[in-house]
Amino acid sequence: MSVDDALAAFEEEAREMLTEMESSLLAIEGGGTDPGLINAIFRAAHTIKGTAGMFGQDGVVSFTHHVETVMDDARKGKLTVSSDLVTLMLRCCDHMGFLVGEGLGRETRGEEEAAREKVLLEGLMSFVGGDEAVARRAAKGADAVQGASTAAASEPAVAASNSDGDGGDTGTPDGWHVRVRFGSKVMREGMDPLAFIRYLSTQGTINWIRSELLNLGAPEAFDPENCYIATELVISGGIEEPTIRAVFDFIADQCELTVEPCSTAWLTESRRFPAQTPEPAAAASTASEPAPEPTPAPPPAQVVASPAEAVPVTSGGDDGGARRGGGVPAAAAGKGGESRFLRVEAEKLDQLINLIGELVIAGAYSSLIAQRLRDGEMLEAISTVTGLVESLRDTALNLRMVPIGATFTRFQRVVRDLSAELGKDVDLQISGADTELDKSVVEKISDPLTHLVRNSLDHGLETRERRIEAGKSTVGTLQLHAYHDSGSIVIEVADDGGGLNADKIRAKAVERGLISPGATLTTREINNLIFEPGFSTADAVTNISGRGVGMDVVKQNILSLRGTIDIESEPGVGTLTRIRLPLTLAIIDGFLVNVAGGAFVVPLSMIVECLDLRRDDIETASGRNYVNLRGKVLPFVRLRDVFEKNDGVQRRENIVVVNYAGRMAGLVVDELVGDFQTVIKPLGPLFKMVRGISGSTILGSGEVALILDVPSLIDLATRIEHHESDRVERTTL
Amino acid sequence: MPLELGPDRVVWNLPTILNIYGVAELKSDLSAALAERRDIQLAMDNVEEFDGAGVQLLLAVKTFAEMQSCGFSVSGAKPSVVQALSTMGLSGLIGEAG
Repeated sequence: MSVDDALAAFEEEAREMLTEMESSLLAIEGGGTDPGLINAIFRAAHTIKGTAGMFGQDGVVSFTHHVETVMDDARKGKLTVSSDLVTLMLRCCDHMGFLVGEGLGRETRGEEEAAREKVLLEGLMSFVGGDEAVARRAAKGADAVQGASTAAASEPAVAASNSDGDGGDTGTPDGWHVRVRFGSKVMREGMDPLAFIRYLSTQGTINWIRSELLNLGAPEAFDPENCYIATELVISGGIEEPTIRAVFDFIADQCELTVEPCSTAWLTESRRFPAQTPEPAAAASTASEPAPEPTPAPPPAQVVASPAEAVPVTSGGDDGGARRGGGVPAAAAGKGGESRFLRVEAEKLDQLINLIGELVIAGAYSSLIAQRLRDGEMLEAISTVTGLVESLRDTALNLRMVPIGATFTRFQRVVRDLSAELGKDVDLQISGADTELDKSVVEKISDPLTHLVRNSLDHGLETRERRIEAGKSTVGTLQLHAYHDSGSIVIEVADDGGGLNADKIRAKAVERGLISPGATLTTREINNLIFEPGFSTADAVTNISGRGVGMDVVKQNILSLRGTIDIESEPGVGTLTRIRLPLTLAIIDGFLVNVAGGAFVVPLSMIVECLDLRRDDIETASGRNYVNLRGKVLPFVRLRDVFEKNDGVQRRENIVVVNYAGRMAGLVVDELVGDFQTVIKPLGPLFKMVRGISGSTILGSGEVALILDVPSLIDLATRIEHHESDRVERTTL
Repeated sequence: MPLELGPDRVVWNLPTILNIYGVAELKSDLSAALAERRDIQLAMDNVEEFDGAGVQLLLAVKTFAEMQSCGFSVSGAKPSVVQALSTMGLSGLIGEAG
């Protein structure tokens, strides 16, 4: 792993930890009493501090140190987590995000940031009760900051530390005697003993240290990847025992750690610790030798001692040991392969999907050749390969599926801040957070969702006074809900606010020339007008004021993901915006049809059935575009007409019955070819405005097939049947 | 060649990567160096990536050499290596460079 990779891993992990901190804080504020939440916040802060220390991010370390200190008090029960503390901690999270960026050279500290940090630090200090404690912590905090910055540059002066307690205060520990014996698997699992010791050295002053190898055995039995290291040290400089233990939290179950207090006198003595290297022959017998008072050393079977250091160590260096630091706390990329998760670059997965896409196309070509040759054995072999390729495709696509929960969680903060700003009480309810969808879709859905959530808060939910007047609870409800539905993921944003005023939207649409005054539109169609470009509602209607601002952009974003957006609203009751997106943007199961010699693909998940379009049906409809499907009216469109493809040859026609979001329609085609794995290729910008087509794909023969945009075709079929004006509508398609 | 045989010592030229990802591959060189039963000099001029596993290897080589009553020394260590050894309280390894 290169330094850049490690830094990227550090940043990603830090951001994840900050998100975790934020959601735990919000959960506490929301009434959560699980002590695990406070622990989670402490651990997240601790992880950030630890990893940042390994990368020499002193700014992050020193600030987070204070956050960690306050949260440590909280988790010990010394401090109640109040709403004020949550607010402060949330701001601290934001600032830590800035510090991470600053450490990586992405952010620059200006006066504003410096002032903010000062205010936050003061705020943190204020959460420790008692003047004396505040003063002591303030002084220590200053020391820690100073210590962290100077430690990186130079060796701390051990003499000063050792003379600190010469005044004779022997009652309280002035330092700590620490022994750590790293477990044999530590290094294999991505942890680096060097990184832990280096980090510990940033927390205080190391007065004395030595390392040795335990149970080394004969050269033949030596496994360089096993860890044999044991380190013993004395540390002082105001550090507390929990801080020392916390350094080794990540390997708590993989190391033997003892931390014992030692007084000033003992500290001074420690400079006279044995510094000799035992004779190899006597190595096994040196077990008890290095044990300074007050306790004996751990009882290793065989000890190979190193020369003891009578000099303090330097810290914060940038040697190779830190390069694996990115994986240290999470052990996510453990070398031993025993970890449950691996971090993989998204780009590598994209490459894999692309290759599988090519494999699918090549497989289709092989299948075509086999069919042409009519070789039964080869067809059978190809069929097996095709089955495997399909499994491979599904598995690979599954790798990119991530739960939408992380995106939803972000809105807790948005809702919290915005509702406070607007003076509204809002209860955010999240459901279906485990629903998975393609990572690339998740990334692109975040902005439109933010827009919808903000709109609901700002313009959908009423103020307390208006809610009381309307006889509603003073607390408004905003719901985020996700679920899978027939090959799509559906995301709903619902509020129990004032709802849309259809009459006013209609009036505005007429005024803007979006519809003619006499147009017959359902309430749903009217409500959906707010997604039209130019429908700025900032001054349109009181209770939806602003809902149209940028809503056309939201719709465009959703459409670009091959999705749809729909709005339902009832005045006084609330509004529900429903986004429907494909599960993946890469490969789908398709159904191949022919229309006038051209190949088209219908997404298989949207097909209900295929029917023969009989002449009787057409005659019964008296020239209108519908058939009687078991007693129900099924509007249809002829793809020949839609795409103006007419080769003059009259063939038997078939109807492909499609269903999308509860609406059904028929697509009239010439020939039904069959299932087809469809590798979706985007259409060029030239075809951006062509509706009815959502993408393209390549057939085994090399021929290009267009993927039908079923939702827009269903719209078209429905409109044609409603208005009986297919010719007019066709020109607008 | 990683190992150079001199009249009184074997010089082991360590590779660029001396961390957990590279140490396992050095086991055979270690055995070959010890088989010479001569003083061992670790030439660290090329070492750029160094971590706890590297620290451990150095200390292990020293231990094994001493078990055979052979000398041990380190040469060409870069500042980052020196600093890592110092962090672990092992500056003495470098101090014995010959």
